[in-house]
Amino acid sequence: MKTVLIGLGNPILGDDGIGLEIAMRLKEIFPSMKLILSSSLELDLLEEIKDFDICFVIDAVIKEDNEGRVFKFKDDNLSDWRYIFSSHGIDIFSLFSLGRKLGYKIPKLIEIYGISIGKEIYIDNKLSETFQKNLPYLID
Amino acid sequence: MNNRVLIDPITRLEGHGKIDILLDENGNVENAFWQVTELRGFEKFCIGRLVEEMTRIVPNICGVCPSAHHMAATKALDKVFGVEPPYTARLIRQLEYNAFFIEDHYIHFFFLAAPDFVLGPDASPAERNVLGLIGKLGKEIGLKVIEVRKRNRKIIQHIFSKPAHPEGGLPGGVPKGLTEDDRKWIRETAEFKLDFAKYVLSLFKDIVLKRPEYLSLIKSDAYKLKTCYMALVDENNKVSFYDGKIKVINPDGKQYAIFEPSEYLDHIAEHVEPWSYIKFPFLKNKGWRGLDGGDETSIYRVGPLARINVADGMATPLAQKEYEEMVNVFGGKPIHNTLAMHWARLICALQAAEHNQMIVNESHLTSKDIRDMNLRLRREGIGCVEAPRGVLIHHYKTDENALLTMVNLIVATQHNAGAICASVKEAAKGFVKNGKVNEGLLNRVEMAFRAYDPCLACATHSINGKIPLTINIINRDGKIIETLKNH
Repeated sequence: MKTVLIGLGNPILGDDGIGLEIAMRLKEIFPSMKLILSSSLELDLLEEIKDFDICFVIDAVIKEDNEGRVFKFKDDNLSDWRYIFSSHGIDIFSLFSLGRKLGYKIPKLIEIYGISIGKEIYIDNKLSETFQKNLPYLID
Repeated sequence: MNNRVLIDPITRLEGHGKIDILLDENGNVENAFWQVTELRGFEKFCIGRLVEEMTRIVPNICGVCPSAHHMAATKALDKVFGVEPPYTARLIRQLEYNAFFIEDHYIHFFFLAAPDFVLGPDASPAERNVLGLIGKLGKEIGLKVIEVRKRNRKIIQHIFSKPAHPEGGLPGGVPKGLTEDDRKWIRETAEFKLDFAKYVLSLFKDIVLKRPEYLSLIKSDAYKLKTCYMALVDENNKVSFYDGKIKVINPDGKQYAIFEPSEYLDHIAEHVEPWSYIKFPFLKNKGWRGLDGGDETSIYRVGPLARINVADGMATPLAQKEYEEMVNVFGGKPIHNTLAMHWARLICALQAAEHNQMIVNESHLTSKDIRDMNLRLRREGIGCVEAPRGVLIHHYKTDENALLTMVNLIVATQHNAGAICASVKEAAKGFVKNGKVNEGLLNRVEMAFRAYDPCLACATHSINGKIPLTINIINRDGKIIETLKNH
C-alpha cells in the first residue's frame, strides 16, 4: 500500500505546528511513507497525493478544555468539529472531492488525527513546554 | 428595537471574522462593523532577531500572501543595507512576483468570486462553491487553474527556493540567476498564462457582464462606496506591482498626494476603535472622519479597483484595452462600485501575464549581474509592493549589529478595514430592510465583503466540508431572538 502522511501546521504559530512535529517523527518510524509538510491545504497537494492508496492527516484542532488530547475523526463524525487550523486553503474533504471530480486518483482518506491545542494562538517558532514534554506520548 | 444581525463566521473567506449589523427600531440598518480576530505578538517575535531572517519569517505570517510579504521584506532589506539590485535582479524578482500575482488572483476569482455569479447569489451555500462551479463549467477549467498554479509555482521555486513560502530573498539582488535553458520553459509558461488570462476575461464577460441582472447588481447603489484610493504607480503613472510611488486620489478622482513609500508615516495614520483589534488607517492630513464613505471621507481603498482608479492606465497593451473597456462600461473614473473589483482583478492578472512575457524576452534576463554585494548597514528600511490585495508596507529598524529593534507592517486588509465596514453597511442597507433577513440576502452582504479578498493572518477553517454560518438576531437587551445556521 502506497501511503502518504500529511502534517499540517504553521511553524511560527506555536502549538499549531504540532502536526508538523509529529508527522516528522512518524516518518522516522515509518520511512516508506511519503511525508508532506504544509501550512495549508492547497490545490497543489492534489499533484502530490495522486496515485497513493491511503492517506493520513495530522493537524492541530481547537477543542476547548481538551488540550493535548488526540482525536480521530472522519467526515461522518464531525458534527461537533467545526475548525481545523490552516493558514489558508481549502478544507480537506472539499480538496479530496475536488480532486476526484477533476479525475485524479485520490487516495482513501483513512483518518485525520486532530491534536487539541486549546483556544489560544500565539506567535512562536517552537512548541509550548507542555507539548514538547508530551510529544513522545502523543506519538505513541 | 435596535436588533443586531450577527454573521459569524463569514462564509468562504480566508480567515475568521464576523460582521455585526445593527438595526434601528424599524428593523433597518443603522450601522455595520467588521470584527477580526487578530494574532498579536508578531512584532515582539521579531525584535532581537537578525534583520536578514525577515525574508524567511514573514512568508509564514499566513498562506495567502507569502510572496508579497517576502518581496516587501526583501525590498526593505535593500534599504536596510543600502544596496540597489542590478537590472537583471529586478527583472528576476518581477518575474517571480508576477507569477505569484497571477496564481493569487485566479484562486480568488474561481474559489471566492465566481461561484456567486455562476451558481447565483441566492444559490444554496452547499452548491455555491468551487465544486458547484466545476460542476457547472466543467472539469477542464479546474484542471487549467491547477496547471497555471503549478507552472507559476515552478517559477517561484526556481528563483526563491520553495513555494508557497519563498525564502530566498537577499538584499541587493536574487539568490540565483537564470540560464538560456530556463528562458525556454519560462517562455512556454508565460505564453500559457497569457492565453489563460485572456480566456478568463472572456469567461467573466460571458458569465457576468452579459447577464443584465448581474451587471445591474454590480452597478447598484448597494455595492457603491465613495472613498479615496491608494495604489503604486510607475514613472508613467501606470499600474505597477513591484515598485513605484504611492499615489492617492480623492473620491472625485483628483490627485490628493503622491509620495515615496519611505514617507508613508507622513500620510497614513491609524485610528483605534474599542470594538476591533484591527487599527483603521486613514489619510493623516485629512484627519479621522469616521467609517463612512462620501466626498469628505478620509478612509481609502487599496487593491485591484484602487489600481484602476489611481493610475492613468495599465502598463501593458492588452490590459490597457481591457481597462478602457471597463472604464467605459462604468461611464468614467473613479469607479466606486465595489463588485467591480472582480473585473479589475482579472485585468491586473492580465497585466502580470503580459509583463512576464515581456520579461522573458529581455536579453538581460540571463545576465550574471544579479547582486550588489556592497552592503552598508543603514539600520532602517521600508519596503513596499502592491500585494494582490493592495499596498503592503514593511518597515524595519535595527541596531548596529543588524538586530531588529522595530517592525511595522501595514497590510492591504488593514488599509481596507474602514472601507470594508462602510461597504458592508451600504450593502446591508440595500438588502436587509424592515427587519427582513434571510440567507440569500445575507450572502449579498457578504459579497461586498468578499470582493476585498480580505486576508486574515489567523485562519480557521471548516473541517467538515460545510461552510459554517451562524446568524444571530439580537435585540437591544442582548437577547438572541432568532438564530439561523447552515451547519
